Amino acid sequence: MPSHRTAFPGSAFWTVVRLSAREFTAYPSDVLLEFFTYPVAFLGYYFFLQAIAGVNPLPPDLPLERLALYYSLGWLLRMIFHQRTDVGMGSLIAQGDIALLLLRPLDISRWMLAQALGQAAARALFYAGPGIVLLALFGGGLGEYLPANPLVFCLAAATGFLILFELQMFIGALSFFTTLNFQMSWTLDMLMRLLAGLVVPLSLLPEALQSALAWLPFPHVFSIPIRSWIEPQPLVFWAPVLLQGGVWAALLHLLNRRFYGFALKRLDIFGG
Amino acid sequence: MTELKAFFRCLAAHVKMEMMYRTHLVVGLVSQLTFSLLSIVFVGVFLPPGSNIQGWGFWEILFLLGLGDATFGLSAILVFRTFLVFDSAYVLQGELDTLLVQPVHPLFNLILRNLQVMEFITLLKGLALAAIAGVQAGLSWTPAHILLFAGMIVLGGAVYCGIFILLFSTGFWLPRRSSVAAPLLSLNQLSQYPLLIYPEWLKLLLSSLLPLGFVAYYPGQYLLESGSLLQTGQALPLWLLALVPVLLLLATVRLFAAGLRRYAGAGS
Repeated sequence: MPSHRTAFPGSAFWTVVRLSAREFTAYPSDVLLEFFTYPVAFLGYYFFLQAIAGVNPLPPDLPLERLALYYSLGWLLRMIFHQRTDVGMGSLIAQGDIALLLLRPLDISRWMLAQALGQAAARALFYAGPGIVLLALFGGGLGEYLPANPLVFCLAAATGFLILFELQMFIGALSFFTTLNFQMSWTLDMLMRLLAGLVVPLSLLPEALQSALAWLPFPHVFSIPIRSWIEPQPLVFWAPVLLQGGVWAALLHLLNRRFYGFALKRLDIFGG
Repeated sequence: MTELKAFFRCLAAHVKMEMMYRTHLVVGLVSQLTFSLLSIVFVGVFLPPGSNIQGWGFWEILFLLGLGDATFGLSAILVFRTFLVFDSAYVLQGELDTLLVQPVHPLFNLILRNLQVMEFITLLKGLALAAIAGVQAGLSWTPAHILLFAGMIVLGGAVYCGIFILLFSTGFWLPRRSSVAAPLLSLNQLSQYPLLIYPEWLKLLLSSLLPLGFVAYYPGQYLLESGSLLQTGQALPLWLLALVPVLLLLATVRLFAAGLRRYAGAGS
């Protein structure tokens, strides 16, 4: 007799995606609060840059409107991608609830991915609205700020989402060894903001740092998707970049599977 | 006196608890330094040395960042964890019931139970950043200035405490699964920069309904102007800088009491 895992793998995955999306809307006050306040994170950057532009010339390839577009897109992507999967997994491990996941028809990696996807879909729906308002208000009109190549943007965004998910899964699995992981999660978030170009466009960092970052997975999370929206380059230009991102996502996934398999041996139900 | 003794006993217990997780402590330090690095990099890239926005140069803005970190750190030691968990743990799951039958004021009890000693790192980091940036900006750290600076940190911390209490008290009326920490931290980013860069409506909001301007900008402006490093002539008088935190704290403690009267046990 086939197990539930082999009989219904697809449906279980999409059921979790659907439930996760619905869970996001279960507390409307949460959604409303974030909906109205998330653009504020971007406003600080915008008004600071606007004030700077009044006294100093901004970089010629990044005028104020383009920087506004850059930051509003960056924060929009962050709101959709950043699920705190690591903290969720950390608490599952610390409280011993991870043992329940071992009995489910999805392995933990796919279960967490389904949850993150559901959340991301719901967030994309809710945050696209204020995101568009931001672009229209500060970017100088929507028409000229449609993605330069929608297909490339979608591929780059999907790759960025997967890479961030895998990095968060890694931090989550570290809880098998450290008990508490939310400071690590916070550190990853901070590093990601810096190394993925969310705080300062990577092209403004020193050359040596840019060259080093070009080999790492971080720019694929935010910088590449944002650039693929802004820069009108042909698919040939983006193909190797996207390929590199895909390789990083696959590599991180494989490493996580090995690491998780190793870490799981430490599990003794309560206390991870 | 009894309250003070209880506070220090709880503080010692929390310190012992945190010391059990040393890796967590070290990573916390790294994450705090990274967090400050983000702001320094952002300001440094776009505001090169020698340029300023109406008198606010690189070091003046860093001074503001340091002051903001110190005031946030001080308030976070006291009420940030309560702010994070109040809605879900105390209102939705009804843990507040336990506090109501104990011989300590529930708000004080909440503070004692949820002290967050890790935030000492934020406080110390803010003090160090403000001290270095102050020196670089030309501020002379005379005893009078140090005293004034310490006072501003306490007042700014009181403003943050008031805002935290205000926001978590709304959980009595609008129970939430997750806290309003993320939205507040988004708003808090606005307090990192001089308020003069914002449009009037935003400046008004940050000076009245959500007085984040009083956590760093107005105190920082006063300190820099008193050291003759800024000459905007727009610094608020000292009495107002002291009055706003006191009024805010009084109002929010009353709001908490009103919420408490409405609370009817788990699931209310």
